[in-house]
Amino acid sequence: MFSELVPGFLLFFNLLNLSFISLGVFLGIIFGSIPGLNAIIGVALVLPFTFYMEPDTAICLLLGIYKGGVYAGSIPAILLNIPGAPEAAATAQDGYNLTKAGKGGKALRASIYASLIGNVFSDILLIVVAAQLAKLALKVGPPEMFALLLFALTIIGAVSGANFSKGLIAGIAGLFAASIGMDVVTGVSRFTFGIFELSGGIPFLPMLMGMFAISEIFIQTEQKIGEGIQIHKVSSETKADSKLKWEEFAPCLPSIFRSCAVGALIGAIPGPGATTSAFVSYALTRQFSKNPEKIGTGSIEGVASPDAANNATCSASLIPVLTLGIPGSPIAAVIAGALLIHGINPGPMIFENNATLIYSFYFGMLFASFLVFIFGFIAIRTAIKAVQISRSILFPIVFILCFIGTYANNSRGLDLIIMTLFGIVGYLMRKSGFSVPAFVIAFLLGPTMESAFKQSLLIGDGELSIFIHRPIAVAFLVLAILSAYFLKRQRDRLKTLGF
Amino acid sequence: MSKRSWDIIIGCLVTLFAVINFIAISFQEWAGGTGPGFMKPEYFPSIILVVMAILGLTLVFSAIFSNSYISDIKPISPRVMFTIAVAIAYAFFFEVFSFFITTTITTFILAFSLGERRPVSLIMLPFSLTVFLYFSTRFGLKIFLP
Repeated sequence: MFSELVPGFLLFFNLLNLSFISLGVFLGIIFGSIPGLNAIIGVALVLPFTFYMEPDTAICLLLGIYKGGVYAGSIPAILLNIPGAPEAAATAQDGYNLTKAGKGGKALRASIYASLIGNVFSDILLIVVAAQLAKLALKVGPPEMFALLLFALTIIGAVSGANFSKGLIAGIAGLFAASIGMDVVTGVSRFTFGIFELSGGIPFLPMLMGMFAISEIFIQTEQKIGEGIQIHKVSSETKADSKLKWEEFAPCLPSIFRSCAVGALIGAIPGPGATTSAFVSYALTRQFSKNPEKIGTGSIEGVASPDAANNATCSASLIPVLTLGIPGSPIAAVIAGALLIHGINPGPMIFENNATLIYSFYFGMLFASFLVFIFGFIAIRTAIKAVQISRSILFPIVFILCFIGTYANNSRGLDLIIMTLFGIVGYLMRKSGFSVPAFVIAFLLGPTMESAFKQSLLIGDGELSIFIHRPIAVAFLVLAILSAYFLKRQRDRLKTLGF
Repeated sequence: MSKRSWDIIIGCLVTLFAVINFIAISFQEWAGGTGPGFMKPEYFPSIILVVMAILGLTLVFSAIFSNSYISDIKPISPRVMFTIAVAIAYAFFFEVFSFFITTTITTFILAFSLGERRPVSLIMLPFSLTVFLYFSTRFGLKIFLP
């Protein structure tokens, strides 16, 4: 396992990678702090421009944006009570109360420290667990793989749509969209309506940009324009108000570590993602805190714990991608797409075929975690300015960047039309409560799922009973039903708690 | 329109889509796929379509019998319709009328429709963005733009 450490470090440690990862973290903080934009849009927008880079540099840039973006969602949440991303909504409750009390600096510092702990915790977890899990995954046969994919898709659908059936419909629609194009076994074109360009399937990048970025622009144009943003000045605070003392932070450590564990665990499960982990850890902090009455009124613990959980999901959410090829969250789906675009197949074989790259990837993640910590202090003022950029300036720029990025990939006008169509589909899906991430993840998993299904039937002489004759496959199928039920119940409970 | 009615319509549309496609692929003659039935190209999509139809019906019935529907669905605002129209036009005319013309006009229209009224911003944003993007992609990334 560790024989690749030194080559991995040497691959990572060069000026170009360090510069791009720094640029990524900076861009991520800007994207994350602007309400309406987030880490996913940031990664998706930059993705087409990475085609011209080496895979290690490209992944460094994307990881930087990811980590920076996830952290930065808390900045506007704390200062303006506007979460930059849904997962930062839990932070806003206590963070904004602290800001109103003139202690915004304290809240921001607590958020940065908690983010660093959460990030490093999940980086270490990924490094320790991923390779071992991949070894196990290599022993899994097609029936088990199909059952595992079904398990992943069921829970992604169950937790991500407005209700159970809408989540699953989004997932099944993604699988159907993935079946457009050439059949993996026979090579026959399906559902292409004679359009030659579709014989290779729906192109991933235009679909991704449309579903995540263009649909978000449509959603944002629906919001009222010109609403004033009230900013509480952090600079007017006294030093005592903005500085976070060890005596104030130390009591939060048990909550932070508990939140890290919760965040990493939820992050590693395909489906629930950072928002669930932030709210679950916030609810647990409220339950186990020594001062539960203070949570929600402006407590450092109430800022640190969801932030730690939220950041702990970052690297943990990459565990299923790297070990099984299953992207469990929208951002993991984008990163999986980035790996595919660069000719790297995510899944257990990645540790055999691209071990050096994976280790450079690990170093990049650890470096990005520390950069987020450093840039977190430096970029706060820039982030506040970014929050104030007028939407009427910002969204036309993002809109045009989506088109240029998509066109840059193949220099093909059809890609722009496909992206626009998926933008409309994504907008309608979001408006109707269907899960866009479930669609995208299912789209990515579709071909693997189909080939695993057909291989399983080949092994079982065409009998579907093959899936119930294999104990691991049965276990995954049972798990799919149980986890979908319990995750849905958990989500309903959070809803009733008002989250 | 109420969310309940909207979900019933969506559920019916999903079911209808699945049924039509299922019938279509069942009657289609495929060029390949002479092996066992499960290896044929339509086998896996057929299963997907059956599940889709069942889920569509589930949505319809859950919408009919659920008590949790309280609010109405927000209609699509004219500004969104306009932005969608701009996006479609930009996608179609991008290669026809060149990057410069389409991008400048699209940026201007979008900024204006989103509420930008400062004349300097309305002129400077489309022009500077187009020039910056053209030169950075053409000479920085060596990407050809029409």
